Amino acid sequence: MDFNMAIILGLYLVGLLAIGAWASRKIRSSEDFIVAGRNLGFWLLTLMIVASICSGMTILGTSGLGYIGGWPTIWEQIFVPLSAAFVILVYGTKLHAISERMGYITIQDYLAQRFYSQRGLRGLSAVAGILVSLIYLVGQYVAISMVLSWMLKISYTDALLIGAIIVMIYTIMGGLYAIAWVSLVQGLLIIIGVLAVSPFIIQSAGGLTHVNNVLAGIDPNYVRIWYPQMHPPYAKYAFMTPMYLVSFFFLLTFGLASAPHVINNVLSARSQKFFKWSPLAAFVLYLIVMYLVKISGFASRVMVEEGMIALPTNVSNAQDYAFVVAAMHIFPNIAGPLVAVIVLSAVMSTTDRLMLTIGSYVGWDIYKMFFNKKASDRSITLVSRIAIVFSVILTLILAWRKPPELLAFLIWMGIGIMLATFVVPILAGLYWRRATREGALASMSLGLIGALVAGWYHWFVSPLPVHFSFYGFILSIAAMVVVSLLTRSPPVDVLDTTMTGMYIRPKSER
Amino acid sequence: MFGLPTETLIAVTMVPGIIALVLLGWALRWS
Repeated sequence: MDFNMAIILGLYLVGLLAIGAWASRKIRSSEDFIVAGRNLGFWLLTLMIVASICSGMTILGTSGLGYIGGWPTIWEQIFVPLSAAFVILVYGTKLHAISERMGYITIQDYLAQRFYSQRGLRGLSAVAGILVSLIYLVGQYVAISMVLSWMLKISYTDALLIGAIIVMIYTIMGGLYAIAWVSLVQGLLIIIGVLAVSPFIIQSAGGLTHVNNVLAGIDPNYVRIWYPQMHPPYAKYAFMTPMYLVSFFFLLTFGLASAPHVINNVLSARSQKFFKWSPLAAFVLYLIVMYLVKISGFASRVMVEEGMIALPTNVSNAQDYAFVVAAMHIFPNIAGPLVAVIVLSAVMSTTDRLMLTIGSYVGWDIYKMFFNKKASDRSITLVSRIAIVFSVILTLILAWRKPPELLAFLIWMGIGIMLATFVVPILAGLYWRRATREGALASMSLGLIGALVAGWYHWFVSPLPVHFSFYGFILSIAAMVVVSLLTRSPPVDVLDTTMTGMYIRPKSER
Repeated sequence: MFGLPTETLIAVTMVPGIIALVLLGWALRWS
């Protein structure tokens, strides 16, 4: 047990809670609680999107994937920043305009109105949204316990318990009220931390050219843009083939952009004008951070190959520790706390959004819609909080077992379910006037079933050549088109109030 | 350069570059 580390971590958490307490004085109702009072400024909006996409998995999983897969995995660092731009530009511009008029709190409020089905759409999106958020939360817990166990020199399960207690205290103390401000601080900490640590990791591995020469010596494909097209791949890490990349593009750019904890951020912007420059700002900012983290993963591989550092041997996902171990090697005294703060910030900024997402699904979409139509604001908030506590306990149990070989696989599983269920209804809802209620319900349920069956086949029968979610995505497109064309057109007044049509910027705003 | 094959270097710089240009175009068309 390392007491200096524990003290620094304690100070960091107290600081976050202090910001939370200061910001929560501005919050008055449960609606404010969710949309942060619809008052996000330009940089607050841009950093909120970046901070909610950037999770603990992003820092650890990205460098872990780079460690094992080399340059062909760099596409992840192009598609993920692109998803930040995508959610702001393709979804956000129009959703924000509709939401300003209609007062939406969450994405399911939009779907329920656009597809004139309060119960069906809310029920289905709650099932998919809670499932995704739980998978994601497990990934965050794994990330937090990896860092804590390495930093504090305690066992993985002890670290998991400490991590869960930290998250619980943080949530119950009202950390959620202050999500916007805390996210801003966390987003800045992640960016500054990565900019400060990564160049030194690359430098001490011998510089970029040396890193690439060593990589090319291990496997010439490590410096190519993809692995040769063959199924099954010639090695476990060589799955990033041209065919796989197609499914990977949809998975990350569309799937991640549709995650509830990401897309709900665009509803809280203060002004429509922000959607002009925010896509470019989010893309460039995140691209730089992600490239640095990924190249740090390459550099840590070289440091291991040359015997400068050693990864832990008694864990199932050793390569996910690459960033942490490399940083600790270079700055033995200051990197520990610094890396812990970067990863904790990344974990917390995503975890609080996830908790809020689960809470609002259970409170508003399940409890109020199905069990108690006349529920008061206070009782909905209470139900939301109980749901949050339950989800922490459930994910703790799920994370207790050994983590998968790569953290990235776990997170992509969650995003994959997103791709198969939410992408088609949101895109068709915003841009296709012929998309009907029946089409949306069919597309969500068939997409979910398709993804689950393909996932089961991939893990338990035989590996598939593209990401399993792609099959569900194709099914959900087919279901949306066929079922919509076979059923009656949506009411025109619904289409007009929800600004449906083939344009991005609403006419009234131009 | 940087120990990378030319096609890799082009891909990892030009693809983000083109995306950034498209997003810049979006901002400039907004009036």
